[in-house]
Amino acid sequence: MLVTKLKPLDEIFSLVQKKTVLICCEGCRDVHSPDDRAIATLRGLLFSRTDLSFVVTSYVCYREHLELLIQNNASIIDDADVILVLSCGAGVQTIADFVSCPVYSICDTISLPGYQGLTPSEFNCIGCESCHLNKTASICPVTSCVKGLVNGACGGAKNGMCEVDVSIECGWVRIFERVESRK
Amino acid sequence: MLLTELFGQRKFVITGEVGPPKGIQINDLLHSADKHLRCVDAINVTDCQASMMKLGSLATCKALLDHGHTPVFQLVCRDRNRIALQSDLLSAAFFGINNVLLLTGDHTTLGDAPESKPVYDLDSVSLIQAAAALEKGFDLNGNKLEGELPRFAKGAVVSPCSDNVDVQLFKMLAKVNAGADFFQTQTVYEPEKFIDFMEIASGFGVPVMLGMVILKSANMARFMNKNIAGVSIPQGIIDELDNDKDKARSGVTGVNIATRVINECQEFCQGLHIMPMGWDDKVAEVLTGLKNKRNS
Ligand code: SF4
Ligand code: SF4
Repeated sequence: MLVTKLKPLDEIFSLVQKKTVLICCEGCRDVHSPDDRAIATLRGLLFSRTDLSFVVTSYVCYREHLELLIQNNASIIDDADVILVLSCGAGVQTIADFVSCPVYSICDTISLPGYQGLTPSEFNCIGCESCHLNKTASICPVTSCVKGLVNGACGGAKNGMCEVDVSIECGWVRIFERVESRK
Repeated sequence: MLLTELFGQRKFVITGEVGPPKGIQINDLLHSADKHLRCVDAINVTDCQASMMKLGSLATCKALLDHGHTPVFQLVCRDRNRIALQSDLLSAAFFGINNVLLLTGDHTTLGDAPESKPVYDLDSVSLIQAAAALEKGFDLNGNKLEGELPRFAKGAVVSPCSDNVDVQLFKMLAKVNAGADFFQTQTVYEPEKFIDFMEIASGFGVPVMLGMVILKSANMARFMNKNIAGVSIPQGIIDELDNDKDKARSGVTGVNIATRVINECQEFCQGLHIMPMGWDDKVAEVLTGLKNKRNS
């Protein structure tokens, strides 16, 4: 069962830009995302603040499926200043890997055990309950750092590779590289 | 004596470092500290460094304290959850060990018990927050402490010559914001890189102590280049150690290199942290070679 919880409204409003796309993932089986009423209210509030486009879909963590979704909505996504996502952390990361504009999560994933949809995503989320993706260029520090560090690198990386296994890129170096590439 | 008080007096603070043995016999360590490390302000005690199971840092700190030294208690997040970390900080303060160095810690797989479960319930930043909270009378969960409150000089580490300095500065700032009182750096052999780093880091307003390992041989230098994160030793220094093996072995070359680098960096930092790795007797020689003698 997947459970997510909307982030505080102030935090969500601080993320909107001129052209904002909101992608809501209806997800895999047994999703407990914020209910329709809450999303409708949020949409209303966002409409009053930004030029909002709204896309509802499912399985954004599934790469091939997401690719189609992005193709079908190319006109609005290419034009977006920012994409806000309501999905589990894996979904947010998959979208961020596809597009060049900033991608932010507007919810915290609380729990994500068991069956996780059509396909296990190449990105991980363990439902840490306070999603860090908005501060880490949409790369999950909890699952991409071997020590699960959320405040920055441990200092053990050498030439960008993790101290634990030189075949793994240091998650925090990846975060910095993505930040740099988006400047 | 809190190191923060020494920094407050604008003293160029000098610390050394010892590694506890694998066992409970620490007479040699104490004897060497008594004989060779009276010249430093405080002595760091490593906490199962490189994930090797050793005698505890806290016990060794207490023994040094009883011998009249000022210990710096190194504490890593690898082996303890937040209950044990905070409890050990209280234990240290209880013994009168108030200088602490708070680290994330090498991963367990790098040491001599690679199958052990790493903890990382906290990291260096949240451990600094925990120490700061204890000083204010609360634990991390906001529960109140009773009675007299502990005081700490909260140290942290940073690598100025890392291959990704931005990553280092980002974490350093997080540590400053969490309440770090001073920094010890990874060993430096490239003064230019250190000076560039300090140009930004000095803006954080927290004292930085230059880290220095006295090099024992060209092979040690090559090993460190290959295996130790944040260390880069220029070829010129490796050649210097290679050229006269006797001089390197006796420590003359290592001491020369150390004093040369420190002299170039001294005016840009507020202290010096020497990691002699067993060469305790060379520490005084390095200090004798400094251009700016201490103003104590
Ligand atoms: S930070 Fe990582 S583990 Fe936590 S909710 Fe976000 S994606 Fe999931
Ligand atoms: S090297 Fe990078 S990925 Fe590996 S434990 Fe350290 S911060 Fe995490």
